[in-house]
Amino acid sequence: MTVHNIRVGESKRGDASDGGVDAVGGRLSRVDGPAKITGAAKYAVEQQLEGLAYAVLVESTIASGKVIAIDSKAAEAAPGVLKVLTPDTIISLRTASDWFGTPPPDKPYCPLARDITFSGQHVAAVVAETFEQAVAAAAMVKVSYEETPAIVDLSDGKAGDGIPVDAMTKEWGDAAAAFASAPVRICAAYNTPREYQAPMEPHGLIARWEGDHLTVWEPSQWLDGMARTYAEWFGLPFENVRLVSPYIGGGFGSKALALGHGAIAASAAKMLGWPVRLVMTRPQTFTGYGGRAATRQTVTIGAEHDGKIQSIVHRGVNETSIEGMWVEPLGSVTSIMYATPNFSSKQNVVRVNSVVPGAMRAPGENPSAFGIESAIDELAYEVGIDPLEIRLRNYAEQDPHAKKAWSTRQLREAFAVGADRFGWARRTPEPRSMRDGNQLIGWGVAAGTYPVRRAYGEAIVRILADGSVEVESSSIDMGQGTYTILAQTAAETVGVSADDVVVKLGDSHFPRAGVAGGSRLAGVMTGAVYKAATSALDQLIGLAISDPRSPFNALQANTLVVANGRIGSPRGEGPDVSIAELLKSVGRDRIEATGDTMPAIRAPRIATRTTPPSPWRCRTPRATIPATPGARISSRCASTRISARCGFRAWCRRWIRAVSTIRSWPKASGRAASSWASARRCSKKASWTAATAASSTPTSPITSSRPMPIFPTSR
Amino acid sequence: MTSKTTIPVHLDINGRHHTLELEPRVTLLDALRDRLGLTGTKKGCDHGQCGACTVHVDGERVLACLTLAAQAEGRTITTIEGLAREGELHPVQAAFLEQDAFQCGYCTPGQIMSAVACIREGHAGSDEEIREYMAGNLCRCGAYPHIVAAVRQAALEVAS
Repeated sequence: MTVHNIRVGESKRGDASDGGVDAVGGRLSRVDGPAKITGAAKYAVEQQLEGLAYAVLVESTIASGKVIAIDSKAAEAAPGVLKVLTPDTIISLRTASDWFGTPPPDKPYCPLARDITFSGQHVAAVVAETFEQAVAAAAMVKVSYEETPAIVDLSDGKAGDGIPVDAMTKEWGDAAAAFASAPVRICAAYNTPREYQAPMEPHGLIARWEGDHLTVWEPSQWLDGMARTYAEWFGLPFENVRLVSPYIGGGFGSKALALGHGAIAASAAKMLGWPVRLVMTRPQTFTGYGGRAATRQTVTIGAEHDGKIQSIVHRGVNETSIEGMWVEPLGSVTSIMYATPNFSSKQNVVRVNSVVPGAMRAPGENPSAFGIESAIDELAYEVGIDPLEIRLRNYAEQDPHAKKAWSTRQLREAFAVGADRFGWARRTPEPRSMRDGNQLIGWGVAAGTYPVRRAYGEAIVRILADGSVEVESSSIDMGQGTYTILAQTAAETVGVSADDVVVKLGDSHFPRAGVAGGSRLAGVMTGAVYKAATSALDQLIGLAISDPRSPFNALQANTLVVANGRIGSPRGEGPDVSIAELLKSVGRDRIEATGDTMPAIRAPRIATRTTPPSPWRCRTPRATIPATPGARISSRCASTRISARCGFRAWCRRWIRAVSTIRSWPKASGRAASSWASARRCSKKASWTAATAASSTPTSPITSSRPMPIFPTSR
Repeated sequence: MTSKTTIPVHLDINGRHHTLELEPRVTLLDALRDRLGLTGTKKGCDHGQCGACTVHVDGERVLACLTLAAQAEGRTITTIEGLAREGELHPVQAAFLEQDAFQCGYCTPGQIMSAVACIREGHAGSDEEIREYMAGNLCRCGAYPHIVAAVRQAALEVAS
């Protein structure tokens, strides 16, 4: 079996001196760690199946035009080849619903293209007995095209101004007039290039049919959503598709949807009657699905001489594909970070010959924050005010648009702590004024925000005859620690050691969970497991109190407590028995409870799986600009060193505020590194966002503190 | 499942002897993963750029995706599955666990195999040196600070 099934062993316990390693927030070592460091963790496409065939994609070598012929004779005659799939030979599929679950148009879907709209589009696939045979035969497929001019990218003269996306428009006051009359005016353009998720584990799958049941082993950030898509493509009841994704080698947004290559592999498996494996090559991971769209923004700010903002006018453009639609919400941060009486943000999308862009690490917020935070620095320089001070002078005491109070917003406090720890007061503003030998040193500050997204999740918690606890959910762990935090949640709630909890994830036949994306899964799933575990615990205590065979029956207690796997009365009187002993005495081999984070009135029964009920659809709002203050705020300070001679940059030190445990540091670090990489790659101005000039030497690392640790690094 | 163009290839992997009928073009990486089920060695790029497929051949780290299986004949191959001895984790494995030096885990076997060799080569003397000699192993999750800490810790343990 492929499903992750690990019991926490002594070897991977955290430092018990922390206290409460089993509890939520405790420093329990990841429960999937031993499998990952020994090579025992079998990722989706590593399942060893009998009679596996191997599919390899053939892609378009032009960006625009038509396929006029595919000559597959040589490939079909090549050793080991079982099938060559082309638009003419592949079975017909139905169009599936989109991310939001919107009912699809009633038309066929063909994952192999005749009309070419981007380079690298799937046009054919070769299936052979071995991987090597498939690779060799794929190179023999000859595709003839009728090529037409392509729009290369946003800068292409043919690209035009694009299509206005009215849903992205956000305005209040009279931004243009206020800008025109402002004594200080800055206008800056910020471009971001295409960015790619590039997870270490390439996309791919194994598809196997057994009658009208399809099993797909595929790395997935959203098992339910992807299973739904396969079901709709092949016209199957939802429960006939099983998606298995025990470990995910990184996704960064790219593994939440079933994609064309999945349709091709599953079609090939159905046509052949063999299980088929298809894994994208590394180059294909740059064209086979979309990364973050390239974007352009202009930010104009009108302000008083004291730096108080009077107007922000923001215009954004992102690229999308010729046929698909992707909106990277460029005004999502612009509109909520700073107080301004006048504001205007609008966005267009421009069609170019590219694969449709997709979700990548904070779609919208990432480029949006880059634009507004860079522009604020420009303003700070223009009016001669410290970049931290100017952020405080324009602090948004309430949601600037909705005019509603924030539930919490502690950016000011975060800035204060950060500035103190970083030694911000020692910064000097003049360019090239901070040096260490040959290196120029720059210190910068930035803020960010991310919406609070909600979703629904469901879990089963079982208390088994041996006193151990089992958790099942179709949610996933791609390294963010789901296995571990759910073990901790169940352990703490039921009152057992995390050693005695088994967490099973990554199977769409388990109770259902929403997408692992948008930083929502931990909140959703710990809630579901907490509810299920509480319910199971209630049943356990109920049995102990009321079952005539229970050793507690004579005690006539109102309640009992469970701790360290043993049941007793709160005052310590009466018997003290293990969970296993109690279950044996009352003749039960298990206690089982389901918990979910669904709205109470809409909770569906697990048994009714025929069509995915609408609450299970991804609940990401279409426009991520929150109407109400549902946003998280972050702050960071950064220091950079630039060689005075060659301009080489190195990241010295950064300060990030995060809320969590042992596992948050690599993730926070990874995100900060992503932002840093963005800044380095973008325009010249961009580089200076994280590198506003100033001087000093890095101080020693700061010790982290809980529960809101500050993670510094020196490099 | 094979054509007539196969050759017998004898491989000594983790102390066990295997004889496979392979086409000469089969890489060591695909032989390990697809023929022998030793999937601990990961395929990240298949281009020798990411380091996820790092294994030891005669004690030296090599990229299994750029090595033909036939080239490894008669040599001693160690993969991540063969690193722990009699159930005892290698110090590098234990350090990766203790330092939480990974997230998704896909680069981890390659990082560990590289780290074992890095220490053995005497290239783990400082954080700078560790970074330089581990530079061929990418971690997309960004666990690098913890990886350096794990290698540093393991190097000290191995030395003592």
